[in-house]
Order: sequence, then structure tokens, then C-alpha cells
Amino acid sequence: MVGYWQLLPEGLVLTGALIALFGEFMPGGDRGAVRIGAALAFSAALIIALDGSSGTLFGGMLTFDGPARFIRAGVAGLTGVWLLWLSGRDIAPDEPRRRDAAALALLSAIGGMVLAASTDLITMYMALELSTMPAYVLVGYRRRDVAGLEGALKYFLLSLLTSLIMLYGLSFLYGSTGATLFADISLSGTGALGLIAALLTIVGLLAKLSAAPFHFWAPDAYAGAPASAVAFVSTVPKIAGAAAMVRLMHVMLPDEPQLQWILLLAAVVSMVLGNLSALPQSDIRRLMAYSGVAHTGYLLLALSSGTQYGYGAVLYYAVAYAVPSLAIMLVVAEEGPALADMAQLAARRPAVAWSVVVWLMSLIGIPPLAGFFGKLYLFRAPLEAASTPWPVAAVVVAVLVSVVSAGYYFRVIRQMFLADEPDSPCVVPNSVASNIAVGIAVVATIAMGIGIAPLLELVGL
Amino acid sequence: MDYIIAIPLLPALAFVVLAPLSRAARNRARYVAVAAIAASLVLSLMAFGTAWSEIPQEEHAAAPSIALSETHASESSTEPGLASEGGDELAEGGAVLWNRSFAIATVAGADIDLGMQLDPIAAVMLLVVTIVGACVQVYSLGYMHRDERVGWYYAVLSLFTAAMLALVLADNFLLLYLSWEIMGLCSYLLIGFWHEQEAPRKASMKAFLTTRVGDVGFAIGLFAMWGTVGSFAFSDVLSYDWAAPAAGGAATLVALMLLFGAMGKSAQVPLHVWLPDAMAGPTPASALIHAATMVAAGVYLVGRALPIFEASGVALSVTLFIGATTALLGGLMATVQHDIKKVLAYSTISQLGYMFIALGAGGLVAGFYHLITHAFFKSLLFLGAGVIIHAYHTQDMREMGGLARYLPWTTATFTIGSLALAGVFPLSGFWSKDEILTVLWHEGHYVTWAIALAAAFVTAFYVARLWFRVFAGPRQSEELHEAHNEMIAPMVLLAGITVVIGFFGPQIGAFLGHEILWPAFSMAATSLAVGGAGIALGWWGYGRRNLVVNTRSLKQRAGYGYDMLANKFYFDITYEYFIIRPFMRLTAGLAVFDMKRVDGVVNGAARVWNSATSLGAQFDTQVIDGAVNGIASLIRRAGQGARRIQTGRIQTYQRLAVGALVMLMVASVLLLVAKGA
Repeated sequence: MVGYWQLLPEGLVLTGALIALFGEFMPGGDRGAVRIGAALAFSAALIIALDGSSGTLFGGMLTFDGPARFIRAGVAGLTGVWLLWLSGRDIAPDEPRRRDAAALALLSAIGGMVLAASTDLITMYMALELSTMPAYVLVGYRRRDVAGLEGALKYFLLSLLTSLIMLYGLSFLYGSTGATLFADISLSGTGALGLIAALLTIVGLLAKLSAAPFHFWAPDAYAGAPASAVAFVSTVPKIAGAAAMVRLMHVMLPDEPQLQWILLLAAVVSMVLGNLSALPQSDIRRLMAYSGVAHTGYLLLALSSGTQYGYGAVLYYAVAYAVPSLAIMLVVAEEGPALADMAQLAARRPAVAWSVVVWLMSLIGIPPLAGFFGKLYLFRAPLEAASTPWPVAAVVVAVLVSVVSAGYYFRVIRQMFLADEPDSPCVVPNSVASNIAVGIAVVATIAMGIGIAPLLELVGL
Repeated sequence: MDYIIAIPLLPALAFVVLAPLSRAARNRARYVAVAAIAASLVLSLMAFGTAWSEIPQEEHAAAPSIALSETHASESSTEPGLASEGGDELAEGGAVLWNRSFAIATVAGADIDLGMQLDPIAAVMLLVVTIVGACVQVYSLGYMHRDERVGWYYAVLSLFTAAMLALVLADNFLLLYLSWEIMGLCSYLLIGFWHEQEAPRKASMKAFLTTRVGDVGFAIGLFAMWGTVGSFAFSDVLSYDWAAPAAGGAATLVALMLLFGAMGKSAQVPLHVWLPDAMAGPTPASALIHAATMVAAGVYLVGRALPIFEASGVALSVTLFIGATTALLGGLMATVQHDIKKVLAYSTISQLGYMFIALGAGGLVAGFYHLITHAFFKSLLFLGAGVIIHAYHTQDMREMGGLARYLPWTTATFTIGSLALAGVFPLSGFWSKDEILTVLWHEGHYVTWAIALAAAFVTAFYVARLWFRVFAGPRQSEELHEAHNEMIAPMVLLAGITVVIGFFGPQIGAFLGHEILWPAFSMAATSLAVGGAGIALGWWGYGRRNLVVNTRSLKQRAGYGYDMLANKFYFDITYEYFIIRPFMRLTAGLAVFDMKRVDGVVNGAARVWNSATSLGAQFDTQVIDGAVNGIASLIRRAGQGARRIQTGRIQTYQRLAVGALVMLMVASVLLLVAKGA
């Protein structure tokens, strides 16, 4: 497609959001509106996946290339999965209202899709905000739940802080280079100001990606939120954030090689802190929050290599991490947030339990699942680019802590298969739509691993 | 002479050392701040001594402007005989003795430099700031020693001193603006130092917002300056031909905008409303910031930029008008205050107006001279007021009296300060005030001269009113006690300076590049007569034996005029009704967040945290059995250590995030430097 037709997928998603807002007037009420939203999101993903064209819009403010195509399809597809699941379930046990959640998720998805394509400071910032603003509301979706509101407030305040820091950095970037288009920004010769501007800018994205030490909001926000909201909030905006990070690094890293060390530092701290903090958690939402911190660490590790290879690995793994992570949280939303709630899942719902096993295996990095290849590329990128021993040391740390991470993932598996049956196991009603959603996630996790070749081409690996 | 860089850097370093410490450690480490300001004082004395010997006063008085090209290195400037080879770049600023520039960035092709320079004005200002700063810090050792956050007080005081010193050393308007804003922040922090109480909290907000209004003007002025000249350096901006037709109205625009900024900082009518409220802060901080130094920064700015004002002409007249209005209105408002600190605050406003009058008449040196003398005697008065407030545990003068017999040191020094403020011969205020009156007379501003004289009369009256109420009459409390030595000593030092500095007027004038003459007899006699009349009226109203001061009868006699004064000329009420209330209504209308809900979140947060911790404790006992070997439990323990920083408090998270950012910034700049080296 050419010209403004390239924005057709975003238009479809926007239509879905508008329809969802008026869900009570739709046939089938909220449920019907969510189904329409899911269908539109899937069709958007399909259009992006099938349309091989590339181009720019608005004088280069948006660039539709391979990486943008991959990420946009991923964002739209995952949003579709989430909405499909939602059409069969409530967002929280005592919260029957779905239409607002669907609209918010679709709006956030538009932000993420535009973010993946934006090659301009202004569009990047706007898209970033659009992708995270709905997330605050989703976290505090249960209006009478104090814990959720507290989490939402914390998320909002910390996000606001880092957004302002980022905006501050953007103003310096514009001030010192006189350009907002990525193509025109050159930091060479701007001295310390350019470096500080770059650093301030990155901080905003690091916080959205919940990289240490800007991750503190994540565990608190997720632990208060409905697990279904966490499923969306912790994954979809993150994919787009990773894509934006890659684009920014394309611009900044060549001129400011010091950033490489900053990224490496953040990577190591995130991996170690995330994995160690995840170990003692009893709430799966918290556990997955810390696991997300750790996975962001892996992404930053590859990002710090500053090579095309590393960037491709980041893009691929961002999606390869998001699919199982989202799916696990959906199951948690069905069963209950505590680790103990998963006890004997294998006996009650064997198919779901085995699906969880597949996703966890992918997160740990067992071949031939998506996570294995992702980690492989992520860890190889810094090794190939390394000119000093430090990146190599960081990769060694990464491998060690991912062994540690197996510890807490296996605890989930042990609960599902070996723990004693709880006294009063919750009975989850069957739902075709959500089962399909879970099925899609399993297929995607396996397919992304086995059919990796065309995807790698897309992200430029 | 590169040691001059250390003068602002030492207090800044004290702040950096103190700020991250824990409260208890910071309180113990407050002497770091005192040591830093003492070291700065010594260095300032050295710098001043060098400058004094560099500039031959007699020659200089004959040829007032000797300027070195700014590219001269410091080494060459210490060679003798340089005065003869100087150019004529800085018409008003005097000779530049030392200059250092640091390029911090390139913005759109232009280099941004943050440079410092030492010229006579800067040398004198350094001394003023460090002397008053050191006095206030030593005094605070006694005054604040019981406060549980004294360490933070000292940290902010140090940051403020650093900013003020950087401001007077700046060789460009950008660094000046930067320091200006840091001072504004410190002022905000110190006014709201006792933030548990409502009044200081509100006052700090008011001060911050009101000065921000002025600062916006300042910023616009800077933009216009950059647009016209393409540089912020004093040497470029002041040597630019502002009067040329090519500059158009730029001179007027830039000058008026800078003046607007100065009005906010120096509390000139109509932006003066914040200063009386700012008295809610600790008294020594008021002495330093809201009497001696920061509020004088506006005068300093206008003085530095005076060539632009002169090129504009209009701006000069506006300055004169604003100054005259403020001098008179400020003085009048001081006459009806009952709070001892507010009398001094309005007095400060009025005296700053005096300085603006001098600048508006083109009398740069006269204005600076008054700034210097005022800094010493007004900080002295504030320190004395601190002792009085400690003695009486109130700020209301109606509950005071009879201090003269019980607090001899305070009485003596405070009297010296009062007489200096009233302009009594031979104290410092007399000389500088007469210098301003002389300039006005010579420049032909007869109306302004008359207004200034009227303001002098009012000043003498409220000073006398203050003195008689506090020191004369029967004592009102049984437990009056003199202050500690560390509080007395700074006051004695400041009083000494106030006594002697007037006699060095001609030398100071020559040093600053413009002659200060002994005042003509007729002028001195006039001002003394007016001052005497004011004091006499004050005695008649408040000092007579067996006098029962009756505010109500005074009110009835003065009628409408008294109401107007008591309502502070309706400035605050006007702002309240036409700006603040509509704004509040607007925000209330727009507020989406239901207050009840926010409260619920706050209360709920505590509940959630409590239950979360008990849950965590339960979990620990249940999970430990899962530990298979030593390594696993070791890792788990490390995980719990990591969990400990997850406190659940958003303040902690934000502080951690910002702290991490600052560390990353420092690290990356160090990397950059290391690479460059």
C-alpha cells in the first residue's frame, strides 16, 4: 500500500476503539463490541503481515520498514489475542464492564503501532504517551479496589516523572541539533550537552520498559492491578518501547559511544536485580513483573552492542518475550494471582497447564521455542561486537542469571503438577473464545521458533 | 588568580556533601558549611586585595573606564602597569582583572560559554556576600541549634551562597540567570523551611510564583538579547551599539524585560507582595536572602545592564518611576506593621526602591554603594530581630518593650543599625542615601528627589517607631536573656562595618570607577533635618514617657489613610480576587480527581502495605522448606535483600530514579572526559 493507506491498520484499530466506547449499543453488548475490536485488531495485524510495501509518511515523521512491520503486526496481533480472551472472560471477578478496557487497549495499541514506525522526536513522544496513558487506567480499572488505585497512582506518578525527564532531554536534543527528524539529528560535536540530552531521553524509555533502576513502579503497579490488565500493560506497550529504543539508538549510539556503557550497566543491574527479586515472590503478578525487569535487561544487553545484529535481536525478542508473558498472565487472570492458586492445574485443566509449560519453557529458553532463538541472538550480539572484555562478562552474567530464572519458573510448574490440591479449588467456567486465544498464543510461541527465518529477515538479522 | 573559581565552588561542594547524608549525620556535619563559607571569605578577601592593589585609585578616578580585553589570561593581568594599556570596552563595569570561560555546549552552531570574571564590582560584591553569609552562618549555629533539620538548613544556605557568588562572578547573562533561578529555589526552600506549618508553606509558594512572573520577563529579555546580539557575554552585549538604528526598539524591549525580572526578585511594586510573607522563614535566612543578597540581585542585574537602559532612555525613566513608587509605598506600609520582621521586610522593599531610583538616574555607583551599605546594616537588623524574637517568643511588637536594659549587646548593635537605616550621620546609610540624593539633584530629577526625601522621612519614622516599641518602655516579659556569643559576635562585626564603611566612600567610589564625593553641606543638612524630623515624630508617637499607645485612636485620627496602609494598598487583595481566586475556581472546575478518592488511596496504601508485609512473613515460613541446598537459599536471601528497597513508597522510588539518573549522568560525563583526556 502507498501513501496514507499505510495507516489503514491504525485506522481499523481506531474504529475498533470507537465502537468499543459505545459497547452497550452493540449487538451482544460489551461482549459483542469486544469481539468486533478483536476482529479488527486481527485484521489489522493480517494486513500488516501481508502487505510487503514500505515507505514514509508526513515528510519522514513515520517510516514503514521491516522492523516497523514486524512490531506493528506483533502489537496488533497481541491486542487481538487479549481482546479475544476478554470477550470470553471478565476483566476482574467483580468487574463486568468490558467496553472501557477494550477501548483503552485498542487506543494503547494505536500508540504502540505508531511508535514502532515513528522516526521523529515529536511523533515518538506522542505515540509513547498514547501507548502508556491507557495503561494507567487499566491498572486502576477496578474503581473500588484501593490496591489497584494505589498501583495506578504509583505507576502514573513515576511514569510522569520519567516522561518529563525524557521531554527535558528531547528539548535539549532539539536545542543542540535543531532537528526533530531522526534522519537530521546528529549528536557529533555537541559535547557534554548532547550526551546528557541523549541520556535524559533514554531514561523515559528505560522507565517504560521497566529497566532497573527505573523499574520500581512495576511490581507495585502489577500487584494491585487485575491480572488481565497486567497481561496487556506489561507486554504490548513494552514491545513498542523496545522498537522506539532501537530507532533512537540507531541515531545516538554512533555519535555517543558512552551510551553503550550506560546501557550495559542498566542491563546487568536489571538482569541481576530482576531475577533475584523474582525468586521469593508468591504473587505471580509480582513474579512476572520482576521477570519482565530481567528480560528488559537481556534486551538492553543486545542493544548495547550497537550493531544491526543486536538491534534485530532486540526486535525479535521483544515479541518473543511478550507472547508467552501475556498468555501466562491471562491464565493467571483465570485461576487467581497467588502462586498457590495454580496448584494442581494439571489435574483440573491439563491443556491449559501444558500450555503454561510451553510458555515457561520459552521464557527459560528451551529449543525450539521462540525464547531460545531470541536469547541466542541477544547473547551473541554483544559477543560479536565486543572489543573489550566487559560485554563478554555481561553475557556470562546473563547466562548465569537465566539459570537462576529457571528456578522461579519451575516453581510455577511444580505447583501445577506436584503441589497438593487446595481445599476449595476455583472452578473456572469454560469459554471457547478465551480457549482460542490461549491456543493462538501456544501456536505463536512454537511457530515463532520453528518458522523463524522470515521473521529474522524482517527485523534485519 | 584561578583560585577565584573556588569561591562559589566551595559552598556548592558543601551542599553536595551535605545533601545526600542522613538527617542525623547532616546535622552533625553542619560545620562543613561554615568551613566552606569561611574559606570562601578568605579567598574573597584575597581577590579583593589583589583587585584593590591592581587599580590605582587616583588615576582611576581620572580615567574611569579601564578594561582589559577579555582574552587576557589571568597571568598577564597580574603584571604591573596594565592599567595604562587598557581599552575602553566596558563603559560602566570597570576593569576586568580576571576572566575564565568554560564552553559547555554548542547549540545550533553557537558556543554556549559559562564564564566568570573579576572586576571591581564583582570584587566588592564577593566581599559583601561572603561577609554577610559567614555572619549569618555563624549566627545560625546559635539560632538554629535546636532545630531538628538544621543540617538541611545549612545545606540549602550553602547552595544559596554558591549561587549568589556565581551570580556576581558571572561574565555573561546566562550564568547570571542560572544562578538567579537556583537562588529562587533556595529562597523557596528556606521560606518553607518549617513546612509543617501552613503559613510558611503558603508563603514559599507565593514567593516562588511571584518571582517566577518576573523571571518569565527576564527569560524573554534574554531571548531578545540573543536575537539582537547573538551572545550573552557582558563584553559583547554591553559593547553592542544599542542606540544604533539597526537595533530598533530592541534596547527598550530587552531593558524593560530585564527590569521586569529584577522587579520580581527585588520585590518592587507591584511584584513586592511576596517579600513580607517570606518572613515566615528562619530569621537568619531572611537576613541573608531577603535583606542582604538575593533581593539585591535585581539591582545588580539592572546595574550590570545599565548601558542598555541608557541606550533606551524609556527604560531608564521606568526604572526611576518604579523605584520612586516602591521607595515611598514600601516605607509607608512599614509604618503600620506590628510584626517586627514585616517592618524590616517593607523597609527592605523601600530601600531596594532607593537603589532603583539611583540606577534610574544613571547613578550606577551610587546605587551599588547603597546596596553595599544596606546589605550590612539590614542583615544586622535582621540578626538583631532574631535575638529579640528569641527573647520574647513573639514577633508582635505590641507585646514587646524595655529590652534596652536587659540585652545590652543587642541593643547597642540594633541601635547602630537603626540609625544607619534612618540615615543618621556618620553611619553608613547616611552616606549612601546622600549620594543618591546628590545624584538625583545633579541629574535634575527634582520631583524624584522630593519623593526620595519623603521616603527618607518615613523611614526615619518607622525606624523610631520600631526602636521605641521594642527597646523603650516597660518590659513585658520576666525571662529576657541575652543571646549566645556566636550570635552576638556576627552582629558586632556587622555593626563595626556599618560604622566605618561610610568614611571609605571616596575610595570605594574610585575603586568602582566613579567618584563618590563627600556630600555637600546643604544636602547633608537637608537629609539630616528630614531624618531628624522623622525620628522626632516617631518619639512623639511611641517614645514619650507615660504614653499609652492606642492603635484605635491612631486609626480614627488617620481614618481612610490608615485603612489603606493597613491593607497594604490593596495589592494582596487585588491579586487574591482577580488572579488567585479565579484560577482556583478554574482548577476546581477542571479537577477530575475526586478528593475523597485520593484520600482513600492514601489511607488504603498504608493498609495494603501492612497486609502485604504480613503476607510476606507468612510466605517466608512456607517457602523455606523448598530450599534444596545452600546456594539456593543464598540466592533467595539476595533476592529478599533486593526486595527490601521495594518499600512501596512512591517518594522512595522517585528519589531512587532521580538519584540513578544523576549518577548515570555523572558517570557518562566522566567517561566523556576520560575519553577526551
